[in-house]
Amino acid sequence: MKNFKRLPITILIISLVFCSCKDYFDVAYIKGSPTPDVVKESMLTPYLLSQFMAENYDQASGDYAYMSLQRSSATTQLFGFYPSFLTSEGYWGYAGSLKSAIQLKNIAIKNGNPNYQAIAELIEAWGWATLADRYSEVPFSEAFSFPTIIQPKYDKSDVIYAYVESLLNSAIANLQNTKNNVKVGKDDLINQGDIAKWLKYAYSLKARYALRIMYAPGKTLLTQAQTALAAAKNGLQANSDNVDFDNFDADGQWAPSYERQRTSVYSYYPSVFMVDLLKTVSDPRLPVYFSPDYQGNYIGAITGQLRADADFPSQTNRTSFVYASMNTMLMAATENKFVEAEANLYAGTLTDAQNAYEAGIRLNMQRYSNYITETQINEFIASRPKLPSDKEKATEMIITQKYIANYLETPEPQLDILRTGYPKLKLNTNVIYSTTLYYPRRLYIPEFEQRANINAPKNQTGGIYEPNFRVWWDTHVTTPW
Amino acid sequence: MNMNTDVMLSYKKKMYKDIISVDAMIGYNLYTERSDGSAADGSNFVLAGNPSFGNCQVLQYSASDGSRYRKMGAYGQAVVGFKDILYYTYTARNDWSSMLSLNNNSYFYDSNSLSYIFSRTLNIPVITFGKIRASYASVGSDRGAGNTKEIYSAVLGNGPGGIRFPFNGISAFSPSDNAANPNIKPEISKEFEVGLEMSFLKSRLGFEFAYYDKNSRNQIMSASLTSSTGYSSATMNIGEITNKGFEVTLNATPIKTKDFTWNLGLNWSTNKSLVVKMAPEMEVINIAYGVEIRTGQPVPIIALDYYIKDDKGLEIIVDDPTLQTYGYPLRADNYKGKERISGKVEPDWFGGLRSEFTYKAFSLSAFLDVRAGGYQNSMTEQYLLSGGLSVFTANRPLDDKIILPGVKGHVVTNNGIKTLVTTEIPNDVPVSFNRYIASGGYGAALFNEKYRVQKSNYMRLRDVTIAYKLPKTLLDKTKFIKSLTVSLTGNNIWRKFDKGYTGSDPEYTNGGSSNAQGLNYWLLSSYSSYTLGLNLTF
Repeated sequence: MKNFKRLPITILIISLVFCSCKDYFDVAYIKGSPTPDVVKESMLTPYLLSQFMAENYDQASGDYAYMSLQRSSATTQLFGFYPSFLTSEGYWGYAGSLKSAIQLKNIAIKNGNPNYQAIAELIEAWGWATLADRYSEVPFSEAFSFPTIIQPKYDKSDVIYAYVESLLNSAIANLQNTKNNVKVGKDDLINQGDIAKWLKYAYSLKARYALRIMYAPGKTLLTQAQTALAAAKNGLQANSDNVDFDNFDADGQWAPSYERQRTSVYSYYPSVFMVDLLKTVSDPRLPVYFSPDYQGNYIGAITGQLRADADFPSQTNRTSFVYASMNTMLMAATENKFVEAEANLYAGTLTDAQNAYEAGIRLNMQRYSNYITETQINEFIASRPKLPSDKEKATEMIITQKYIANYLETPEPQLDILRTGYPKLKLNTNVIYSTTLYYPRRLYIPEFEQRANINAPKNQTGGIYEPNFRVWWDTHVTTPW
Repeated sequence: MNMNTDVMLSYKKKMYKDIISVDAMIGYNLYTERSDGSAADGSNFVLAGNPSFGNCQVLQYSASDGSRYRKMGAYGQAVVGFKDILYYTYTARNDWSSMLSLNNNSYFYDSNSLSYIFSRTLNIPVITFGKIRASYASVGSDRGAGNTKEIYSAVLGNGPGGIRFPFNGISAFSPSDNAANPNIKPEISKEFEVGLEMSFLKSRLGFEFAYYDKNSRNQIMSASLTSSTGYSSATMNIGEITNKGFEVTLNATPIKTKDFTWNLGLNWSTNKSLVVKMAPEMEVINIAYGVEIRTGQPVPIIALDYYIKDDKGLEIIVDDPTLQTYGYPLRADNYKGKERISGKVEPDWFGGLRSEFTYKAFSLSAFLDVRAGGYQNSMTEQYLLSGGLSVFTANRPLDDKIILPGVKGHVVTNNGIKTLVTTEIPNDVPVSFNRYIASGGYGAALFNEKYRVQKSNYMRLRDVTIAYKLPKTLLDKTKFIKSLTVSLTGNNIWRKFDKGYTGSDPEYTNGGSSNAQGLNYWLLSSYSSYTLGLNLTF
């Protein structure tokens, strides 16, 4: 009986001793979620690459691309007041692939896997360059510093672009490093562990960004062109080098462009500008890219001017151009060739520029070899005038072909238009952004960032930057719309 | 699965001829919480009407979640009484929680309270009961603290670009948008409260009154972060917040006869919150879309852009033709900072009145609920504006031209100092209505308090019940039914909002009672409901 009385106290003491071990409270609140000390590169890479693919696709063909591609939507202009992409949080890319890339990079550095590190560096470089291209000044040196900094300061594009270049150089070195504890494998949903392909992509990205900032203050045209030329020669050369995300013909594995066409067939029409661009020069890509209207004609849409139901305009061709098992393109060799052509205008010979220009057209058309014959390709190239010695006119020809080749695939058309002014779009007076009387050259800092971060920049009247303010490298085009 | 273990030892003793009583207790508590969940989506049934996973041709795991939580507490309480008139109570507790960082996971809190039932010593016949009390208590909490470690989550279901993981046999993990906070500390609140409770005339009339002054340090809150920090939200200790307030309750039975009773209850309360200081790295905490927490302000406030007005309350329309804003209202952004707030979310007061009549077997009761003095930020209105569907855009000009009402004026900047120049000349510059509503940079009505900040006052008939209780004589014949009441209740059957309120219901906010107070973002209206009730006792 006496012992029995002591039992509760004994239990109390035992359990207190037992439970005061610190480890007992060291449980993750969310079950089964790996923490940074156990997570592996192969676990993070698939998601990162799918984010990268989705962001690239969205910028290439989403709302933002309406401006450069002049695509029309059948419905939004009927009641929409507001070009929502200008303030969209969606382009404020910090939460997406950029963040995932930085985390993968840090883990790869810790684990001694330079190949994984390089893949992360390439996507990080793309992320920073994309932010600089959209907003010019963004949080950079103090970004990703929670909990130390919750209102990161803004840095200028020159600082960001210098970092982009260093990331690309680091990636080029790391892709050539064969001392890896773990090899990149099937988790690489883009190149399936083919490091040589990643290396070519790294060089092509370097070439792309060297030209992007060719007119930026403090940069010289010749140096940028030389850098681009040297890099492009090691870049993507053949269609087998094309960097794309492998989609499959199955629900949940479709290409997002197919998904969009599938779910909103009548929402997106090619513009009259794009259709006429191909039609007037009998470009064999016309029937590959687009399907005819009910009367068998290729007629592009004018935003805000709907035709009657009976004669809908041409649509994107859902057999040859957008289909379920198509891969989602991130960069094709054809882009690299046009970069090489443009760089040759300033740092090489006109002949080399002409050859690269023709190779760019040829590579792009060869991707549709089921529909376009070699004879058609040769005839089309022969029918095109040669690049003139006038650099401005030559640039217009190169960029116009690049615009066609990149159609719906990369965000480059929009940025090329800002940088070079080509192809010469006609402002559509029906669309909402034309009421602002200019073609948007940057995006608004999203509302939430303006409120949450006191460092968000102000214009000279103390207000926010308007979309007609130019970004850092946008100095060449003298007569913007 | 929860498991809660309490081990308690108690001690009771009366001393000195029962004048002093002691009631003491010590205890130990262990609480563990564990949840595991998996969900799957199936489609393409083989057989109609057989909703089982085995019957699905397409099966996809869509979620897998769960949590672990462990908390241990050691506590004690002692109550010392004097002649059933005066009581002193002391409580103390120490907790250890897995939701806090390992170095900060232990916290202690205690309380002292004293109550005096003076009606037992005064013996005044008219006073039925009288009690005065005072307490000073601290309370520690790990409430709302989340992960202290960065985690990655398995991606199941739709991923970026609409593709689904596992993708072609490859599974994926994604980083978390919610920041792990390894520095999270327990929240400690200290509260001083005094109260007086009295009833008179055999409880026909009574009241309760309480005043409290509460100070919370390291309050744990979920804050929205700009994604440039790397995260969209984080659990943080935000600083020091005080809450002071009164609560008054009145109860009366004005009429009480054999057949008829009228009971009346009235309550009224007010609370004033104040952010005394915030953690050094924070100046403003964003809850959501302009709902913020700021030092020196109640919790939370709404801070949006606004149009500058002159002394007569007229909007100033920019009259400088060289500016893009020519013909549009002068925004605070273009003149001065955002130091001004658009409105506080916290109401000035809450009130309620309950009236209950009972006549023989019939009873009728009603409760009227009132709230006044707070504001709400309507994101719904912003979206309606941008789509041209708002009531404010209903009579838009067909040619898109509008002359905005106001007087001409502008800002002159000299050596960095901005001065407002106003005139009394009415504006006569036609501008684009679309641009006024939509553009982020000109009129920017979308982001302006003028349309988005609205009073959240309401008055509503919360419930009305009419009931009839069957006479006992009738029921006695059944032998087994002891009582039977039939009732009809109407909930929320009448309500009145502020005249300028365009939302669905100001009582509703995103996030319920949590941080996202004062935000209405596509919320549905509250509904009225009627209940027919039958209450049987056997």
